[in-house]
Amino acid sequence: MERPAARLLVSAAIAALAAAPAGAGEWHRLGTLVCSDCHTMHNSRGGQPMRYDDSPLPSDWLLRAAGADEVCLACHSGTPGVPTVMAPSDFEPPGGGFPADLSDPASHAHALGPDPILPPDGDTAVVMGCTTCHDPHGNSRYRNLRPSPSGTGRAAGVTISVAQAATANGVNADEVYLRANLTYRAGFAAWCMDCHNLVYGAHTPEVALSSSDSVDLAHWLNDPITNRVPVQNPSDLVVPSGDDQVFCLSCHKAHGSPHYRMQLWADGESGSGVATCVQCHTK
Amino acid sequence: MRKIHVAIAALAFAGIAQAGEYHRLAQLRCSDCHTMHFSRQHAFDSTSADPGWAVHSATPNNQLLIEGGVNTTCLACHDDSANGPDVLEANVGGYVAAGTRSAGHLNDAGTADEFEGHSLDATATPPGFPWTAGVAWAGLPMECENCHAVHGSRAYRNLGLGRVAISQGFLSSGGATAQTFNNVGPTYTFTATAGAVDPNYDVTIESNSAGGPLNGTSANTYETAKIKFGKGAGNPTDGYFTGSSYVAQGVSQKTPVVNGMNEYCAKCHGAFHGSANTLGTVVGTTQHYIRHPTTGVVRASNTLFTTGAFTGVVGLDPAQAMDSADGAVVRAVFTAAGKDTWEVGCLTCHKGHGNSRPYGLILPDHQGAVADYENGDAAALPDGSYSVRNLCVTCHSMGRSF
Repeated sequence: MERPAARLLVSAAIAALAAAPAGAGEWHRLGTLVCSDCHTMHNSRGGQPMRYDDSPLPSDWLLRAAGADEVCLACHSGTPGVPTVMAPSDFEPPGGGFPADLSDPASHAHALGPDPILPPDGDTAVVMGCTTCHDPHGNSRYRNLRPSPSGTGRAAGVTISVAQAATANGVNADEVYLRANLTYRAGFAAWCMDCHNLVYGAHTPEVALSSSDSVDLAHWLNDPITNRVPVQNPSDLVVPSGDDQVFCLSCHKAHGSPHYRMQLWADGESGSGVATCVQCHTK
Repeated sequence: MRKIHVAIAALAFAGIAQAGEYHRLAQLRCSDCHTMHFSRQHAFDSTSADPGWAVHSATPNNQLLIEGGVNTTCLACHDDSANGPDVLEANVGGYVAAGTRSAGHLNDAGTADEFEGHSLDATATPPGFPWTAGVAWAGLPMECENCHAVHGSRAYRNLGLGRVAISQGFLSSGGATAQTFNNVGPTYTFTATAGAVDPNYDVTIESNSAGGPLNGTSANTYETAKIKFGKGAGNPTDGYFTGSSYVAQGVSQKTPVVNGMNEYCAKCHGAFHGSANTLGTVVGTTQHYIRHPTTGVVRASNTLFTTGAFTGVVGLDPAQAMDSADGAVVRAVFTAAGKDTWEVGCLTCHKGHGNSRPYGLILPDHQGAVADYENGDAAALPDGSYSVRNLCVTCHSMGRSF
């Protein structure tokens, strides 16, 4: 079945010409929200089905696949120009990716499935799918993230702030979803804790590196560090700098990684993961 | 000779167009379409030949038609002619004001426009066919008479009494087989109040004569802004075509079912219609749509749908959407005269004939006054295609930027 790559290229031109451009860095909202990418009114075009899996059966929500996750993955699993979420990674893209088995039996990613699942260090079971965290119709938030994925409202008032050096235009996904073009500012730890509300310890919620005796701040600030882990910068856009904070994404990937509990290994898959820790803790 | 002159005078008087009531009873002019001897050397008033009723083809035609078939006969007046509404491609002749045709326009099979609506002479099975199991499309070319009764019916725009070739034979109004196109024509009435709708009828036509047809200025009753859709009362009356005068001015036969316009489209596109085809299975207490709803789902002011928690139109005031400039081109099926509750119909999103947009869809730009009632005012994308979102956001708030 055809992929909407050509349409995405057209949409890029639209974004360039639109009087009301999408919110900074974000795709899938306002003028870049293409209804027919995901929905079909009658599952018929010229008498042929419009589902991406070629099934003639119409689907709930008028979707072009069996379910929401399948619709998302029709584009986000290797379509040219579209960020893929199906490649577990340590570094690029920033969000990481899911394994082929979305149920994630090895606990390397957020497990997706139809049944409620209790998050690690959380007290509220959640049905995990793409649209649990991301609003498919877009919103004004970073990556169209929903205010409260758990439905509890715990993080509803949190503002996620990320400085993006590239604005999505439909053909520059490799620039937009690049770690070097992102500077995290605030809100992420609190947002993750909407589900993982029982997380505790020295790394939470958003702790300044300078506040801990166990951090070798001089090493972090002054020494060359390969594959520097993400930090939050509430005061400036400079990394490293004195305002740097450890947060969830310093050690974990948002979607998934090749490692247990979605850990980010600064020395990659061939390493041991210790390289992540010693970026801050050399003692 | 006197008898002939009397007959001529009667025919001339009967030639006055009457809005919405043309091509039936006293307005059904045999000589518009038929010629007895395939010879016309002059008009009925013995002047030189009137080009509007000239014999065009080179040789006589079946059924004494003036042209070589049903389509070409209809198009002798309904294409590139000032004699009637132009129904094929460009609006030439000016009978109906530019950019206003309520049904849009047809296209020809085999052309690049074939995906933009109903295609004359197309033989493909209609999307969403069959309307009943075991019936196969016979693959004969699409003709005007598949939808319109060429000798008139009591339904809106002479719909009803359609003739369609299927595996069980060629259905006609007088056939012994099931008359699927009988008693399903949409009902209609007239109003002198601008923008008014009578939800007891499938169609309300704005005219200058309350409760009845108007004389002399019928062309505007083919304009989109003059026509509103209602749910209809679904109340059957006697006989579908008596050949007698009206029971009452402006009152037409009512269909056995509500939303007669949807029901009519469903005769060929039935798989897209009705709860059985649009509602999915119930999972727990949740039931979602698997195709866009048509008849039966009422959108009321600031409320969700009556069953389940359908969030597709949440946060949107339906009155604002449909009793507005947008609502004049994307026409709801009103269930109340106040136009604050409505259902969606096939013709809410599609033009009955088609237009110059994919699938005959109507694509407004939501920027105030409407200029193009046939296609909507949304501009093309740089590659020449059109974004369907312009239509969706009329009712659905996702992706709205206005």
